[in-house]
This record gives sequence, C-alpha cells and structure tokens, in this order.
Amino acid sequence: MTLLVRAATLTLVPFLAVVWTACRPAVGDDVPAAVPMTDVSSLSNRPVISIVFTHPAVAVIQTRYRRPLMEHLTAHTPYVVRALFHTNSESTLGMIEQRLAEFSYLGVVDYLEARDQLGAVPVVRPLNRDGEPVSYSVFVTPQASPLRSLGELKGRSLALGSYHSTLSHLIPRHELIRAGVALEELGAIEYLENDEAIASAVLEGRFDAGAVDELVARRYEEKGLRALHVSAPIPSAPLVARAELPQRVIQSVRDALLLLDFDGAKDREHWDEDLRYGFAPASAADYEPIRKIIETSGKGCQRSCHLAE
Amino acid sequence: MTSPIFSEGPPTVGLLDRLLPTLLSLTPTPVLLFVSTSSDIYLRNQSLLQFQYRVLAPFAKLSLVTLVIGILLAALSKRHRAFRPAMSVYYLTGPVFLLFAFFRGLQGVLPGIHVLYGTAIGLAFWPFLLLIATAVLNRRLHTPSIVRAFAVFGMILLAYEGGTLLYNIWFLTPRTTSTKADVTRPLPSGSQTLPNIYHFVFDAYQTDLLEHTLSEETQRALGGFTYFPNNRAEWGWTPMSFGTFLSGRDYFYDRTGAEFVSAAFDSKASFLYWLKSLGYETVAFVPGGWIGQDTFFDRFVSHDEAAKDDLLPLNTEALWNLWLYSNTPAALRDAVVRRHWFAGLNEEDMNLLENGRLLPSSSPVTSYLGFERMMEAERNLSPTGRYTLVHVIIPHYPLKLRADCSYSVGSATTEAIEQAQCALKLILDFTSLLKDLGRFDDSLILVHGDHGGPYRTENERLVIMGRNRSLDTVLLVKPMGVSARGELEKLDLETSLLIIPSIIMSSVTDAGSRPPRAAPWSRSRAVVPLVEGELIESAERILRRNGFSLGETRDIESSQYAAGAVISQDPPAYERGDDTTEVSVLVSSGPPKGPNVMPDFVGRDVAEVSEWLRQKQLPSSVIHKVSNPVVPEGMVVSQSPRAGAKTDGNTEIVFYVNAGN
Repeated sequence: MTLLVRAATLTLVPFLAVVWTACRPAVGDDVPAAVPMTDVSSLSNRPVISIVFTHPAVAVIQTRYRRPLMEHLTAHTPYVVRALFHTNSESTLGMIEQRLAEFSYLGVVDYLEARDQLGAVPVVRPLNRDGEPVSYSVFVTPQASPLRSLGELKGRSLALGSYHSTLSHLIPRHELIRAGVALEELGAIEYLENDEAIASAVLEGRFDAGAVDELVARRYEEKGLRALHVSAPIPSAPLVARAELPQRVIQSVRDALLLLDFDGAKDREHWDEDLRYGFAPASAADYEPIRKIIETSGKGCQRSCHLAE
Repeated sequence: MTSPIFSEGPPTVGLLDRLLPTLLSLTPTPVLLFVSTSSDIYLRNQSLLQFQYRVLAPFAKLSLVTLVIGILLAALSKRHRAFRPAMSVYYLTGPVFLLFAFFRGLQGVLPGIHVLYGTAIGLAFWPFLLLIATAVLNRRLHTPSIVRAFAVFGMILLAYEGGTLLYNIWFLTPRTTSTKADVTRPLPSGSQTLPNIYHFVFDAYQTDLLEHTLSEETQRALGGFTYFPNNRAEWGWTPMSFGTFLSGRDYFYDRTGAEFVSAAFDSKASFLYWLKSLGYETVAFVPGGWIGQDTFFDRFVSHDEAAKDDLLPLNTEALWNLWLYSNTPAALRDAVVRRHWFAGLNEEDMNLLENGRLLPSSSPVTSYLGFERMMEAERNLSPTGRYTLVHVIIPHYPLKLRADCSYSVGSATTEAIEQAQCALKLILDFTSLLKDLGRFDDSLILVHGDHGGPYRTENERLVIMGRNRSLDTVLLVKPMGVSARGELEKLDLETSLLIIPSIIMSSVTDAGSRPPRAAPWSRSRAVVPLVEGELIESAERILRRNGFSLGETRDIESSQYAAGAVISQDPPAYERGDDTTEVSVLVSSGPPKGPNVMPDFVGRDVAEVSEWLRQKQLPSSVIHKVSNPVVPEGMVVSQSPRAGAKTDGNTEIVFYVNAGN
C-alpha cells in the first residue's frame, strides 16, 4: 500500500499540477469574444466600408496612416470605415474591380483608367494648403543649379515617375512639350518608382532635375531643392467610388468628407498633409482636361500607357 | 559499483518502486525527439489537418521504439559495463537535442549562431558535443540521484506535452454531432412530382479555364447544357458571392457582410427557404468552412468529414514532411534532404514549410475526395424532389490535381489548365452518372463558379494577369426536361450569378407545364423576385434586373423594419410573373416618431452622450467603459436601446465607451 501511495504521489501530483498549468489552447485557435455584446446598436453591427490607398511603404505605416480620416468617417457615417493598402495602383484597381473595397484614393491617371474600365465615380477632391481643390507638378533642381527655365533642360538629365503617375510623369511631359523641349532632346531620362525617390536622386546629384508632386517639392525645399518650374493647376486626385455602390453609401461618405472644411484644418495638424485641408465635391467633368492631355501628349508612352487598350 | 537500474535494493522495496523511476528516466529522450516536436507542429496546423490527431501515430511509434531501445540498453548496461557509454548517449541525446532546438530558435537574435546550423563544421559540433558530454558524464549518469532527476524531468515533460495535446484533442477538436452529416439515413420524403435540382459551385472557375479545356468531345458530352460565356460574379470573394447567388440580391450595405451571407443561408431571402416550403429535400456537400450554415438543409456533409479516411495518409505524410523539414538543420536539408525527399515541391511549398506551415492545405484534393463520396451517395438518394448543393474548391489554388483528378502527396505542382480539366472531368462524370440512373433528363443542373481566377487569355494562351482575380466565371445550365441531345449550346447573353434564384424558382414553378415553357433566361419576368426585407432602392434594382418595375408604394410605421425597408410585396415572391409588370410594396417609415426616441450615438464621442444625458436628465443611464483597440478612445462602440427605439423615464439606457488601451 505504502508503495502504491508513493508511486501515485510521485507520478500523479506533478502530473496534475503540470497539466493544470500546461493546458492552453493551440496557437491560432479562435478565442471567444471577451465581452459578449447583447442586442444593441453597436459598431460591430455596422457594415464595413473599405477605402484602398496606394502606398509604396505599406508595411511601415499601415497602423497609423490615414487613421484620423477613418475615425472621422466612422463617426459621421453609419459604417465602420477602414483603410486598406496596396503597393501598386494596378492592385488597388483590382481591389475595386473585385469589390473588395468600396472606395479608393486614386491618382488622376488611375482614376481615368478606372472610369473607363470599371465606371468608377469621383466623389470628392482634397483641398490644398491654399484651400483650392487643385495640385501642381513641380520641376525641382538643386538650389545651386544654374538652371532657370524648362527650356534649359535640353541636354540635361531628368528623373520622372512611372507611367501611371499624374504629377511626376504625365503633367511634366506635357509641360516639357509646352516649353518646346522634346524628350529626345534631354541628355538622359529615367523613370523612378515614386516621388520621394525622384527628389532624393536629384538631391544626390544623380539628375539635373526631376518632377514631383508639390507636397514632396515643399518637403525637399528645406533639404536643398528648389522649384525650377511649377505646372498649371490640375484637379487634385479624387476619392472614387465603385460604380455600382448604392448612392446612399456614396452620399453618406461624401457628406462626411465635406464636413471637413478648410477653416478647421488647423485642428487637423496630425493628419496626413494631403487630406488635412478638407474636400470639395468632384465630378467626372473636372478631369476631362487631363484626359485631353493624355490624348494629345502621349508620345512614346501613348494612350495605352494610361488608358485601357 | 552496481547500477541503480535494476538494482537489487532493500527487500521491502517492490518491483514498481525500482522500475518506475528507471522507466520514467528513459522518457525524456523519446519525448523531446518525437513527441514535443510533432505535437507542436500538429497543434499549429490542426485545422489544416482536419483535426485528425491520428496523424501523430508514426511519432508515437517512434517514441515507443526509442523507449524500448532505452529499456534494452538499461538492461544490458546493468549486466555489461561496455554498454554504459551507449546508455549515457541515450540519456544525453534528449538534452542535447533540447539545446540544439533552443539555440536554433535564437538564430537571428544571437550573432553567429547560424554557423552551428548552416555549415558542415557547425553540424559536426552537435554529435561532438554529445560525445564529449558522454565522456565527461558517463560515470555520474548512473547514480540513483541522476536517474531520479531524469525521472522527474521525464514526468514534467510527459505532463506538459501530454496535457497540452490531450487538452487540445479533448476540448478543441470539433466533433460532428449533427445527424445531418449522415447521408445514409433516409431523408424526409421529397415531393415525387418535383424534379431534382443539382447545383454545383466550382470555386474560382473562370470562364477562360473552361474555354481552354473544352474539346469537341466534351462539348458533345455536355449536350443539353447551355453555356453562358459572358457570365460574371458580383464579388471576387466566396462568402459574398454565395450571398448574392443564393438570394438573388446584391449587398446593399444595410447590414454587415456577415449578416448578408447568413441571410442567404437561413432567411426568407434564400431561395432554399422557398424550395423547402415547396417540399424539396435539401442536401449539401460542402467544404468544412460552411459548417453552421445548415438551417435549410436536411443533410449537410462536409468534404473533410466525408473524406476523412482518404485524407489520413495524406495528412500523415504532410505532417511528416513538415516535421522533417523543421527538425533537419539547414545545411543538411539543403545538401541532402531538399534534393531527395522534397524534390517534388516548388518554391512556394518550400516557403510554406520554412514558415512552419504544412504544404498548401489540400482543399482541392479534399474537395475531389468529397465529390467522389457525393457520387457514391447519389445512387441512394431520392430520384425526385431533391435539391443538392455541391461546393468544391476546384479549380481554385493550390494546384494539386492532374487532368484525371489524380494527385500525389506532397507535390503541389500541377498546372491551372490541368486542375480545370479535372473540374470538367467531374462535371462529365456526374452527368454520366445521372444518365446511368435515369435522372438526367428531368433534372435541373446548374454548374457555375463563385468568381474567376487570376487569368486572362492573350493570343489564345492562358496567362496570369496583374490584378488578383477576375469576376468572369463559368455558368452552365441544363434545364429541366431537356435531354442530352446535340452538343453544348453557347448563348451570348450578358448574365450574372444573380440570375440563379430566378432560374431555379422559375424552373420549379414551370415544372410539368404543358406545353413546356421556354427557358427562364429567354423570357423576361419569368418569376417575381423577392424584395421583402430590402431597402426600397435595393428592391427597385432587383425588380428592374428581373424585368419588373416598382408599382404602388405605401408607407407604414414599423418598429420591426428599418425605415425604408420593404415589409411586404404584391404579387408575392416567386410567383409566375407573366401577368404583371409591376410589383407593389409596403414600405416601413420606421418606428413611430416622438420626442422620446433613442438617437444613434454609436461612433460618436462620449461628450455628445454626456450632453444629451444632461439635457434629458435621464435617471437610469449607465456608461460602461470597454477596451476596443481599433477605435479611438472615448468613442461610443455600442448602445442600448438601439437607435430609433422608444424610451420613457424608466428605460435603462446603457452606453459602452472605449476606454483606450
């Protein structure tokens, strides 16, 4: 008997103690909600609306990027609004096409493509720091550069953005044509991934000039770049809705965004700069001039680079 | 010096007292080598392994064999000193392996550690360490105190590993308790006058895939079917797509996506409800993910469950592969194992193994096996009055199946076209079975995808496109009463999966008509769609899509229906629609208006609640703080009563506000 008790003590007690502490669910198993919700109006009962953004550094910023805007929309619409990200505009358009997102913040060229292919509807246009719903493409050059006009770029090297970029590719090409500079007359031309890369490359002296969004140009002013040429204003990139999205959803989001007026921008200093100053209503007609630019200035790239074949 | 193992001991101490510590002292090595390593992998992948804990059997056998070797060595070392070093090696193998695994986990944290795993010299270190440890500790390892220490270590390991494993198997393994899974049990008898309906959903079956696999022979074999090459899914996501084609309505953002999908399975919005009300038996053969959506099904069989016996060897080998990959040092793996054992795997598979996941979950294989079981069951299921839904993850990724639907364990690399050929083969096999059973002509057979795949056709070749997924998806329909004559008929009609309920319900409504009526897609207003429960804008869209217009609209106050929702319709849903072009509706204007109606504070800041409570001076109000990491601090995440409900002085008003992290 003594032997049995000893054996049992030796094996069972530590066994049970360890079982008690060791029992834990496996990794990945679903855990029931900590606070069960009763039948009440609740955020979890609301439809989810997704806005997809194109951002080259998605992994780094996804937790904070655009968050204040999403919170504003959740508070002022009957939906839970969340941000999704893709690193390229092709995938962003794919999200809209497959109905995996309801809205998207697209560049103008991408919007025109989405309009032609998917019937995308422009909803609002962000205001700039002057309260206008326009953007500018800026040719930048190092502050010490002797260049004073676009015409002097002949024989020089130039950095532009990808074919899908409005402010760092399409408009700069258009501006060059207007200034009488053919691409063939440039010493060298290279198409870089994004505006930051263009500005950095010019700052490092790898190019004589580059063309970027005005927001990027301003940021790099302090770092040693200056504006060589500023384009005519173009309508700022729109927030677009999927074609078949119910009108009341579009209206609800549009109304919530239009609540963000220019005068309140000082309270939104922690927001991303491109969305901080408020919004204006957008319509398809706003972007027709850009479509004309694509049709008339697409040498080399041609229309198929920007619009559906 | 005598060994404590099998020591004679004082005469009062029995066999158990001598043997038990010895036996327990032998357990750390097999437990550390085989039990810990395999159970950890199993628990991380148990849902992919369909919770088949029997896949651990090879590791249990290995553990037992190792233990038996330990017992033999213990017995031999007691009698012959020459075996003591071997016994010591046995004892120390477990702890050295523990060190090996521990430092492997520190790769990337401690600099230089990778040398011990990625180079030949580093690899040689571990057996060297074992030999050194044996040489140094050989004499001490055979003292009673060390044996007892090993015994305690063994007990703790057994308790921890065994406890974790048993707990998971016992409490977290889903058990099939539903009698609905048993197709051998007789069904409630379906109507003998209603023809069978077979509804096949082939996941990600893009139109291009069918086009690339159709031959003259298969087109002849599909005689009786009509093919809609311009068909589109509404959503590129399976649950939402099911929501649309089971209900015939698009998502209108008046409820959550999950509610929309559920409603398509368990509410009047689903055509399943209407089929049931007409007397149809309903049977589903679906992937495990649909468990719980069985409200309107008399039998509900998951492929996992149906094919579990076939899947066991597949899963066992998958676990073995991962175990081998996870526990083999990188240098050895790259030099030998990867070239031989894993030779059939592509880079994607290897990445999965590297991340500690099984090979791609064998959903297509599971679906194929489930489809086979469904074919076997078909012979014993009723020949009339039955609706059968079959959803298979074919030709969806991963590409595991060859053109003849054969597969091999571990190899994931077939071609999209091959898997699409397998899908077509399954369709042909089943239609052939129906013909053998004499059920083909009378039945309605629908075959379609839920969305497309990532392909497009360029210069007559199938290529993968940049955007993730197409919405172009297959739709094949064999109407009721049409025999297998001629060959596949192509119809250049723009269609969408929203047409499915209309095809099914109009076919049922027209069943037995004399003379037979034209196919539903060839006549507008074949059947009145259901718009009850929809918001009026959505109802209008549904009516327009089906060839109707909105007729008289009357408003009525309702606390049950949201403002703007259709409460009832005339004519009723799924009646023949030939005699009317308009559908009149009764629409909710929301709950009765009055001063004491609860506003909607959800998503607003708690300050607004405070201001409202101050103005109203409501005594029975509570603000609870909850933690919600995805919304800002101070935001109201829920409220009771809901917005629009009537309140009086006694109504308890509760708000849940996010208190932040």
